[in-house]
Amino acid sequence: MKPVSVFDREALQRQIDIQNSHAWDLESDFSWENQIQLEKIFVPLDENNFVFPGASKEQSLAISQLLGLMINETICEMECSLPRLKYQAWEKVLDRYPVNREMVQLGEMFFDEEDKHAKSFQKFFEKFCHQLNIDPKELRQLLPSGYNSNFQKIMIKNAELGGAAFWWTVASVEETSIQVFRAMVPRKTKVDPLFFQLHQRHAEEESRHDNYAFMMIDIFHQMPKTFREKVFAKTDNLLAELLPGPWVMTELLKIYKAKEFAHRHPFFKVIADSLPLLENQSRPEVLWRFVNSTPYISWLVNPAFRKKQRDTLKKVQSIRLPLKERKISYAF
Amino acid sequence: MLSNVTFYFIHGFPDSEKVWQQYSLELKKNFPEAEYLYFSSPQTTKVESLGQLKELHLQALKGAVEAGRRIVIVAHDLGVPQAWIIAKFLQDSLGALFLYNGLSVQQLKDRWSDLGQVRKSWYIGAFLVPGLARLLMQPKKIEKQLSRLGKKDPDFRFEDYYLYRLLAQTLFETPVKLKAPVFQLSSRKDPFIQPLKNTELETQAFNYQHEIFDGGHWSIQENPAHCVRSAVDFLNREMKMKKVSDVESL
Repeated sequence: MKPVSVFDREALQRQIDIQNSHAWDLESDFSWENQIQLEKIFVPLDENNFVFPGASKEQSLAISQLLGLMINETICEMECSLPRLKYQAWEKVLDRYPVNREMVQLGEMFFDEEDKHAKSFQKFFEKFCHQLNIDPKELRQLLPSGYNSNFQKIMIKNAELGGAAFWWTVASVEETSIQVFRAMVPRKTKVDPLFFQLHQRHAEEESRHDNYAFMMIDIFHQMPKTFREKVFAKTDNLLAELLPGPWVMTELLKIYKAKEFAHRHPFFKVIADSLPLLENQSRPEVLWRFVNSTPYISWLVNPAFRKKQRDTLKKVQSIRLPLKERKISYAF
Repeated sequence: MLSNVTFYFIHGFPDSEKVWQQYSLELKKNFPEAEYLYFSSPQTTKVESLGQLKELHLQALKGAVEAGRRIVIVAHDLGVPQAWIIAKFLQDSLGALFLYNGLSVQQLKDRWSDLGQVRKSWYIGAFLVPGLARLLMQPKKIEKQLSRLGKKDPDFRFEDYYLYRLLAQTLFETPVKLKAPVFQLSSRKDPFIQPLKNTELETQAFNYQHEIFDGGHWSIQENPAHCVRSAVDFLNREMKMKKVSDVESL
């Protein structure tokens, strides 16, 4: 959705109407009755398979499926953290600067939709585990978790002190989640139909409400601020640019847990057997690839790939990392 | 059917009742048969106490109250604290408050430590000191400053500054929480008043809505249609009215 002025009540009402009329239902708008096609990939991998060079077809399939689940879980973790920060980052802000009722209504819809998205990812995860007969608790140990992480603690503290780093992070994740779907579109036939549908529905709603985070950032910019808040307004974006990187990298290392569960299920074994392909490469090189040229991961950890934030950054005159803008090529 | 509502307008400082011209035209489109009363602040010689000021307002509304009409007070700037003060005396006759770019005395008092607000309205403190106000009150200078804000009016009433001193007499009164719906609008670029917070309203009204307007201090003149629409929309929702013209449910 195009950026809307937070003071333009008519435009905000139009957005409410659009979101209301196009909202999907978690049960009736998905083909949950269909099985996940386990012979199909979840997310397309780059042809050169930079991170796991030389992986077999079976290994590539398992890596693609695990990476798809990791992406789902990362988005889900972000969406699950929203209610935890709803009071500090949203209610308190709109109490201090009560622009209009439409902003409140849009916010309520935003939080409801995010909750619905988290539930849809959760449902897919459970279906995958059930179909593969994997213990969800074991598989979850390989997936990212934001709960009680330092990243989340810093976000909460920043919001409590009057910062908007949380909304910058939300904006980043929303943009990346739409990019993930765009990468699937050209290879639709290779992707599991239910996984594709999940991301299609998700991207549809995300693109309808992805301007809300920017509107909240605009409110932070507009409202009267204390000295501390003025400092935050200039630096919040840096927090959101710098913190996800280390968190994502740490969470990716959980893949090594597959070794622990290799004897429990063939899926874990295939993943565990792929790990030497990763270990054989030099760590700085792998790190460099993760930041610069690995689809999905680079898009999330490297702010140079985030196009939508540029205009808002200019508007609020926030300090930003001296990175040259990078265009995503979906033809990897 | 539409004659049971009286809109009572209280202007700010240094405006006159003419400030409502455009706004009331917009309001009349929604309520063509309502009664419209405009309060014009009297000369200082006529009003020497807050009691007298209250009496003047209540006197102006006496006919409407006796006729069983619902009164909607519409106030701007310095009219806002007056609206809050007389609202509690109207009890069940009060239909709603529409308040624009102003603060109640209580709200202003609670902002005494807010440096942003003090920077914008320090002169009110000076108005409260006898003698100092007269020294500060240089109409030509003020006219020049106001014209820089795009505000020109041949009917400016600079002598009304005495009203600040009268209203300050309620500084230590305990505010009454109003049952009537209150719509309050602040402006993003208001050079005199920082936008209101919800917490500043929730102590004074049970049913309230606040909106921030993308403009300056004289919102009622800058965009009267928007100001009317926002207030009437709120009232409609509050009263669960189906149509704007269905005033009976006020």
